[in-house]
Amino acid sequence: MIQIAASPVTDGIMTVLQPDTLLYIGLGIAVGMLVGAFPGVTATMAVALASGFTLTLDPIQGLAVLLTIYVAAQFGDRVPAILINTPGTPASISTTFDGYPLALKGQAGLALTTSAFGSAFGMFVGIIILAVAAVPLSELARQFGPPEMFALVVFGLTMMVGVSSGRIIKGLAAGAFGLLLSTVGRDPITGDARFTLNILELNGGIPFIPVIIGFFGIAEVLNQILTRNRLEHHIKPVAQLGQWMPGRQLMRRLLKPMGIGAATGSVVGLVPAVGGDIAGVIAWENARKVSKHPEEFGKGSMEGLTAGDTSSTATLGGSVTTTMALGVPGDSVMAVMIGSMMIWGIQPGPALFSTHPDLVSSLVTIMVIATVLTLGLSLLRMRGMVRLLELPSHYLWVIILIFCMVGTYSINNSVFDVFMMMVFGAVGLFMLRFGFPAGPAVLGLILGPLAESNLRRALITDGWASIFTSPIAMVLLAIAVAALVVPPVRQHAKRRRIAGTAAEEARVS
Amino acid sequence: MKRITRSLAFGAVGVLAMTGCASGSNSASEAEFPTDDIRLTVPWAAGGSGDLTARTIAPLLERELGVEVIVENKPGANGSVAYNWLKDQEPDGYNLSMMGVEVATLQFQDYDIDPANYAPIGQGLAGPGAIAVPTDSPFETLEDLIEAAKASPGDVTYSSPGVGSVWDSPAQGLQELAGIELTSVPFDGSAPAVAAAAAGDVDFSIDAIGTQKAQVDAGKLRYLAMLTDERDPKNPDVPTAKESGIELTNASWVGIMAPAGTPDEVVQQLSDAMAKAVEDPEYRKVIENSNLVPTFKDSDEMKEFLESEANRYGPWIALAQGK
Amino acid sequence: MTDHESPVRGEDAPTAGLDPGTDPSQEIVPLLVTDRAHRLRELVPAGVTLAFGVTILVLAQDINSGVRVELGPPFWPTMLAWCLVVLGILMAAVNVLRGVSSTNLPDPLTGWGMGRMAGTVVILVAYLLLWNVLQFWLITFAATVALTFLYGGRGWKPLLLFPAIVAVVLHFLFVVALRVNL
Repeated sequence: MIQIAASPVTDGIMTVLQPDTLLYIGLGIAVGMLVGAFPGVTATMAVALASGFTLTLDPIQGLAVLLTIYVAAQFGDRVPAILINTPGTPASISTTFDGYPLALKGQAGLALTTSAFGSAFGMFVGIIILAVAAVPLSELARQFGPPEMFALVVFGLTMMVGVSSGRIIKGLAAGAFGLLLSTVGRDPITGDARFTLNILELNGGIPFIPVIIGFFGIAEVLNQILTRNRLEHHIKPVAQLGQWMPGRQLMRRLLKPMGIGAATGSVVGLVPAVGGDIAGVIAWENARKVSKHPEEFGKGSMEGLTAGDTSSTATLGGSVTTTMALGVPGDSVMAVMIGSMMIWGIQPGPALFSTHPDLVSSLVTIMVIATVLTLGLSLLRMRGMVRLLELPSHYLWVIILIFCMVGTYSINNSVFDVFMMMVFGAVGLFMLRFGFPAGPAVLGLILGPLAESNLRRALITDGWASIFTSPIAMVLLAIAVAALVVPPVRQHAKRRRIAGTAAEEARVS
Repeated sequence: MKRITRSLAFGAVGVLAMTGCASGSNSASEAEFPTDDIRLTVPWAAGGSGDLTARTIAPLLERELGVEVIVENKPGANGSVAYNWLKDQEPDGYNLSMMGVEVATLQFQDYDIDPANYAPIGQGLAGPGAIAVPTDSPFETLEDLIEAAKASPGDVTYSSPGVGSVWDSPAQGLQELAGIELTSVPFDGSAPAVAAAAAGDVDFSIDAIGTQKAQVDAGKLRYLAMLTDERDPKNPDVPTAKESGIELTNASWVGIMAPAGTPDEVVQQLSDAMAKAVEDPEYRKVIENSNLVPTFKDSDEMKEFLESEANRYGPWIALAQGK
Repeated sequence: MTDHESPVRGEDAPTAGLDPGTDPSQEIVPLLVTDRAHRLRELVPAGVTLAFGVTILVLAQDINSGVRVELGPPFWPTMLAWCLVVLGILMAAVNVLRGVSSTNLPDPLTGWGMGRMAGTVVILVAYLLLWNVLQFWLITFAATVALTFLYGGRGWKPLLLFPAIVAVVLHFLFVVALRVNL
């Protein structure tokens, strides 16, 4: 078996290791990192644009460009998330939870390197999954029909409590607000207009990326503008530039969150239609639950940062797997990639792995090379990037505001999107000033449409029985209930125990 | 360079910005037609067959017309954002948009889109449809399916890419023609809809032959009937719906259009350029590789075609909306 | 936007008072701020939450569908709107009557800041409206100069060199490289 397989595998690797293919990989890295670092300009857009140019290349070279952009963008988008609280692409939403607080504490350099290592680790785990288990795992992904998807999303929604960072009532209100935002537009099942207020653009729903740029980046800048004094020009000075590389002790502490992130991301990545954005949030919350220092999460925890980043990149392997093996796009970037592959005469779908056995090893090789090179480049380039924080705020604010506007416009060539970004910047500012956390709102916005449409789809086919008779759905729902119920119960028990030994407890924590 | 003079002129009356009017060039009618870049808007997100067509045909149109053709995605609200935008553009032939059947059908779903506001340039491709069932389905023929649906109305389910879409509507037609009641399970696009049928979540899929092909090749789906006039040359064993006595044919299609009021000579010139582009072997290869059929209809044929599509889909969509 | 000066905010306020709900290891009782001004301020988020929920409930009445399906189009939004109403009332009960957790207190506003904020909004809206009218690099340059001036930049470097760099970078990246129609 191995003997027979060896030949297409080595063939696949050798096709990638040609000088011109390597050149295209380099090109993809340059584009991907640039694109990732720009809020608003997503990997989807870059891949779509590039696909216009790669049509004339041969498939492996074309795939090298497109996949590398995809990989590199996952590193680039961490940079604005950490430095200016604006996710470069939705995949780095969870990066803002801890990355930006770390930057404010003066640990931007350390945060950037740790994030890059975590991302690379996640990427490798995802790639390994693609390499060894693509076909069986895609069969598992196929089991995810509407009832299972609904249960998975309900589990995702329980994360709202965790990302509320303690303000539970306001967190849940923000979550409900996000879920409501996602109902604007056409009903997913019947096509009836809901809350469109006679605005044509709203028929397509509230655009997601402008909202997250508004909530995170614009709201933060506006808040700084509102609260800074006339003479106070500098954002908090970068106090600690000395430490760049995480020490051995820190690395050991980060092993657990990295493992959690990699596991979470790999599983989430396999499920069609959910990607790195949600995987990052789920892993962040999972890591918080098992951490020895959960109180640091959301206030600058290296563990939280690493878990989220590892997880959102670990989805790439799974996402490529489902795309190639099922023919169903794992996320929007893969949707564009499917189009290009069909032009090259490669039909993604269940038959792909038997008709093109060498393709998998080529894909794996491309992704490994891209990851290694991007990691190296990320580490080299960090010092220059952190300089951005040393800029006086009148430069930084202007850069963030103008770049976010232009970036948002470029997603869909839509002035309406920019307008929405500004509106949600104002909403985000309101939430910030009155203590509503943005995390649950974004989570609601991402998961809302999936939750509602899959629940109703499941009900159409078999009524409520379709959910109760699915073992996967029931297990996921049980986990969701446990996630809500267990922590308060355990805490209650702990409190009662502590009540007895209060004096002793005072020394702990 | 023209942009600079234009902007100076506008700069003087900067307040005009409020009206949101975009750059209008008035040189079109005077000079030879293409003197400036042409903007080809894609009303869908990047990655679909419509986007693909635009990006493939743009360089070929450039060769025919001698000016740059810039492709730009303007997705949103089922394409209506781009259609609505196009309606308000100067009808000079420099602003074009890709179009699909939605131009004719959105009006039935409470959108303010009237096909009369557009001057079609031509059609670029067609994606003829099929009904496919999971490989282990008990239905061996279309008659089996119809019989089962007659026996227990509403119990047979199918996946569609969304209410009112180009594939949900013919399923309504099937119910009407066969006198049966089916249950629609709408998904968010064709790929997940076809995959749901392949996984056995629904009883059958109604979509383009090419979209189902990957699952059929992998042995997960099996074609039951083609929604074409003649048997598909690539699948000669599969009967058409007509052979089962159901007069139902349907195909998705992609074309190009300009705002209404574009001078006839300009439309004709663009239509001729498009005809040549669709014949180009490079174009044919790309489209055929994506399992679609390069098809050309000129401006006049397209106008009639739009009308007949509107007449066909109107009642189907009304049926789907329960009106 | 209304806000009150915050008299109680100490140097270490942001790190004190973590939530009691989810942190098992954190046994510090949150620092409750109970003065009247801050408790009354909490009526704003509670009121907004409640009002938003009610608005959605009203708007959801207008959703009508001819299709008979289980849990039709109005179900999901109506359910969420009721959640908001309940949460709004809870918020009023807990935060207004009991007091505000000190983590909820924002940095104080400055009068200077509010003026700058208003200026920012005006400049950005004007910038957006002029996009498709004027040359992109020109309008970007002008908007950058205006914003930098507003935020206190003076001299040729912030007011000429910096805007020029921003305009050139954006022009090349978006208009030339990405071919965005701006």
